[in-house]
Amino acid sequence: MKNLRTILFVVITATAFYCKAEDQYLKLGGYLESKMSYFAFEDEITTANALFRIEGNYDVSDKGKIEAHLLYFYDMQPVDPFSGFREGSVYDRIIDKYYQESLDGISPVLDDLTQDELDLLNRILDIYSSGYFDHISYSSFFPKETLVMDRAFIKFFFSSSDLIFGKQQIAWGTGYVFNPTDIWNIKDPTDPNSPKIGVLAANLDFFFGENSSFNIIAAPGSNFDNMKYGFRLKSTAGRYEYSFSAVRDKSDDATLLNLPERVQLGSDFSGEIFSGIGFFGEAALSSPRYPGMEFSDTDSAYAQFCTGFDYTFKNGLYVLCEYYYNGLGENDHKNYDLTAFTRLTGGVMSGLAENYVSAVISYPFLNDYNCTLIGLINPDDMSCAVIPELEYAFHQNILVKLNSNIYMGSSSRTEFGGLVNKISFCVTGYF
Amino acid sequence: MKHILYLLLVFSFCFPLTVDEILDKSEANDNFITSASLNIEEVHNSDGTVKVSEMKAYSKNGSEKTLMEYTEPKRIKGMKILMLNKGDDIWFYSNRTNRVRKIASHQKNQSANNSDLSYDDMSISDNRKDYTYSLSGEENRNGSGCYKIEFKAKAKTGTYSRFVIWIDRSNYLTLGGEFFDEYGKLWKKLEVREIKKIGKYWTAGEIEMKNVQKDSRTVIKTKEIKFDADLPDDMFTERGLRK
Repeated sequence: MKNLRTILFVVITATAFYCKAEDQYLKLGGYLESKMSYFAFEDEITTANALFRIEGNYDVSDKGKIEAHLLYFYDMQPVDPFSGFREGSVYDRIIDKYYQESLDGISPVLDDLTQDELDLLNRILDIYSSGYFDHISYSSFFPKETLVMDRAFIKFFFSSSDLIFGKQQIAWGTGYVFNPTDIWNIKDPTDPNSPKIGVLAANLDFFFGENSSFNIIAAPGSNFDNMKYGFRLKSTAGRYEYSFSAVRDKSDDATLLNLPERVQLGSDFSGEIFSGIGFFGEAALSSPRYPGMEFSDTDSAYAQFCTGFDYTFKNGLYVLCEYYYNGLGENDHKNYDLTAFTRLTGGVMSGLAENYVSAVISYPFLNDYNCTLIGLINPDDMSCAVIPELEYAFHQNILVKLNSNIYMGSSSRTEFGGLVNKISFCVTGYF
Repeated sequence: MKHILYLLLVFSFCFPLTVDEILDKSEANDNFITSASLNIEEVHNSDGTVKVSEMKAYSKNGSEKTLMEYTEPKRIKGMKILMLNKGDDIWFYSNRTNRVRKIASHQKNQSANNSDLSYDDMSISDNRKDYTYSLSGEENRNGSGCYKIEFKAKAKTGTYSRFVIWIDRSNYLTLGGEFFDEYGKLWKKLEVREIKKIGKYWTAGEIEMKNVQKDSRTVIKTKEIKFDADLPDDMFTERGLRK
């Protein structure tokens, strides 16, 4: 099976490049990213993986285009799924508790099963777990080798509208570290620039005025109930850009994680204050519907918002500061539980706590270097993540990155203190 | 009749052009309906390294609307910059993130693609709005008689505290410039070369911006240029950026 994948990948790549040479309307590109990480853990774990991405698009006259991105991920040295958490951390406790509860629940049933039935159950669980974690973009549960069609869509151009049909990248919101209005992606605040995974959807955009649009999106699930759909109106007013959105959020992943259906009203803006300082924000009001509950029950409604500013000094120093309020989060670490962990994993919120403050400082120097420092503070449990990064353009098409995730706070009681420090070295070559 | 014409000619020499008239005539050089060009950008760093990029540039209504798309190097291929209202509003599109982002004022003075030109330099800004200006004389530059015009920033927030440009008396094209930082120190020098007339429009084949403080320079060479081709309006919109 693995050989077949590799052969398929090589054949597609070779055919694509051959076709490129033949056809001026076919554009091809992509990159290879090779990454090694060292986890400063008791066992001193190192991991290594490579990501190869081919991006192709074909212009079908001025009436449309076809775009496909093929992603091949190879874990040269995979990491144990839970090695990113410290022993005795909040995550460790949640997982232990989950397993204990699960085992307590199934053990009477398991006792009655024959050996054949147990084997079958184990096989089903294997398939179930690998399929499940394939859907979580930043999970370390990636299988050793993965071939994914990350984007595969056809875009139709009409006189005042565009229709995009297929797996596509959707990016909503104006926040940098947090995007509460973006229900399409799961964002990792410690890696705000990570690429967004494609979403299978039908996306219709109506354009009016110079830069205004009305966007209707529907992302199907395995059945009609597991479908995300909604609209977004985007426009400008003076130096400000703003949008309003309304979405119904339910997916196969959410069903798997037992997350409720929700309706979310959102809004975002970006512009300037004091004639030069960038000012942005987004807010989402969500109303979840648990089984047997109507949307009119507003008791469980919650708000999430982020707001911030950024500024670039004349010497190139860039500064950003952002605050995130998470109405679903907890301000007492004792309440970090499986429900909170599931919401975090499912992307319903971007942190376990209620409040977050983040800061980004970036400075380019010596033509080819750029250093960035991201700070992420959880003031509710007094923990923080510090992520320094040094980027060097070895060549116009080769980027070298060295970064580190340093977590501070009590390892047993805090969100970030429970994570393991790591250093990563990454080389990306573009073609 | 002949006498009247003679008198008019004499009067025109007696009353030289005002600075506004010179700038009007200079801006009239950009009076093309559309332009489409293929350009090579070379960034010569102080350490001797040279970085080469290739970009397509499209303008409409005399540079009121400009769209630039990088086609090389591969790392930034597909990156686009849209400038509307003569550069007052600038949008940046990254095809890798499929995100359109409006560039705030504080980013306009930043280097575009690590070159010696800022986003502000690349746009046709309405300098008469943000600077006071005066004709400070006439000088020869590269063998051409030029008007020397000096601009001084009205507010301290501008990219430059002051700058000087030299406008060719014969065709009203800007042949060069000197730009000063907030402390009044010389920051950048502009050289415009290979002036030629294509159809009815004067244009430059090569532009060099030298950063004297960093000891680096950026040369933009126009490989191909076409004027007044049919460019659709929606090319210069957010929709056009994503196409």
